Amino acid sequence: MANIPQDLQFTAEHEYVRRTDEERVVEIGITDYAQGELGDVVFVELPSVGESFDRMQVFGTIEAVKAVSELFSPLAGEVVGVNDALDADPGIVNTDPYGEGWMIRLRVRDAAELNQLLDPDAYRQLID
Amino acid sequence: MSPAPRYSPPEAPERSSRVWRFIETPPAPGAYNMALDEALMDSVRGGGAPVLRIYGWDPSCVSLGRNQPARGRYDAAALRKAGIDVVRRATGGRAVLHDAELTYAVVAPAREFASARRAYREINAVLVRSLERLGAPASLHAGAPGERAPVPSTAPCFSEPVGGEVVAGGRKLMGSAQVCLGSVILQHGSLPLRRSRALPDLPPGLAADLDGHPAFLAEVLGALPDWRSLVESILMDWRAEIGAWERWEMDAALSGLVAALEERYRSDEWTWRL
Repeated sequence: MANIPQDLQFTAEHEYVRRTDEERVVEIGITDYAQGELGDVVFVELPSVGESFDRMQVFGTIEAVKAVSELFSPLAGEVVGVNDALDADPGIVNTDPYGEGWMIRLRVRDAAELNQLLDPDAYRQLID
Repeated sequence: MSPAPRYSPPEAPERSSRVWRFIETPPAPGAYNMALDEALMDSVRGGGAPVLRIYGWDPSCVSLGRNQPARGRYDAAALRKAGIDVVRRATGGRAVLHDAELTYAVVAPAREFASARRAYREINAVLVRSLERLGAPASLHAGAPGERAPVPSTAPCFSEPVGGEVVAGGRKLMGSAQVCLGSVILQHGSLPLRRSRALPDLPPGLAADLDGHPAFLAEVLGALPDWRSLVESILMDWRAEIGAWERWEMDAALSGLVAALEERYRSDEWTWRL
């Protein structure tokens, strides 16, 4: 069964959002369920620090088992951090999606958008 | 408008009752082939019926995987000298040398197959059946437990079959790769009919980079198959297993879009971006 940490929020596109100690800054990655469905991740294309995205705008792509998919920004905001470690070892997304496999840190434009994300129970219902 | 989820739940697909568009195009340059496939994605995204396209390549062409590092790894001048074109696909995976080959593109809403993995499985199962009818001992590669997918390196696409791919005698007979953009899947697949005659004209290192020692259809059948029989065999199984289809000709709007997209696929900025 897919791991769904209780301290995170989620999207129907199988991304997670973790609040950080810094105000309005969140960490974004894909869920354990998503990495399992995708299979072995071999390439992650991420934006640069300073780029801004609207909610549901494509912020990158991920390639697994020769299939490329888009990554959607769950919130509007500006990229303030990118996980460069995924360049050298994209497989971390499979082995530690909620930890070392995070993708971007985003400074959220409108904190109210966080209320529109799914809680762990709602996300569990979506994938069960 | 929110895009549909990328990873659909793994239940049975809600196959649409829509009739597939079947389009067969004569051998064409790589940039045109890739532009047409992307234009078809646009057409499906705009509400058009899903598409099965079958085509070939002229001149011979190396297609690079979307995310495959290629700059400084493939000798563009040597390829040009041997009359081989280079293009970068929209789909993932690794380099393929397209020469005497049947290539297909399947373009459909992501929900048509329920998941990308299911699309592989269903499309490859149809192709296995079609190849068996022609007498080829084709099967789906089971894949070793714990086997990791190959990274997009310079190793050719055909060097390592992964689970679910079409093989003959343990060697890969068909390569395939996908991309899902804006809720529309494009799956590319290539069936090499015989070994490329351009390989001896290439420097040995480059030739080795492009020759994955796959199984060739002519070799497993004992003779080069008749193109029409091959296409008709695939279409018969497509109708039985995936859905009804009707032949379709490109309209002017799509042709215009193809011409615009060709520019991008011809550009060094895209082809040598990595």
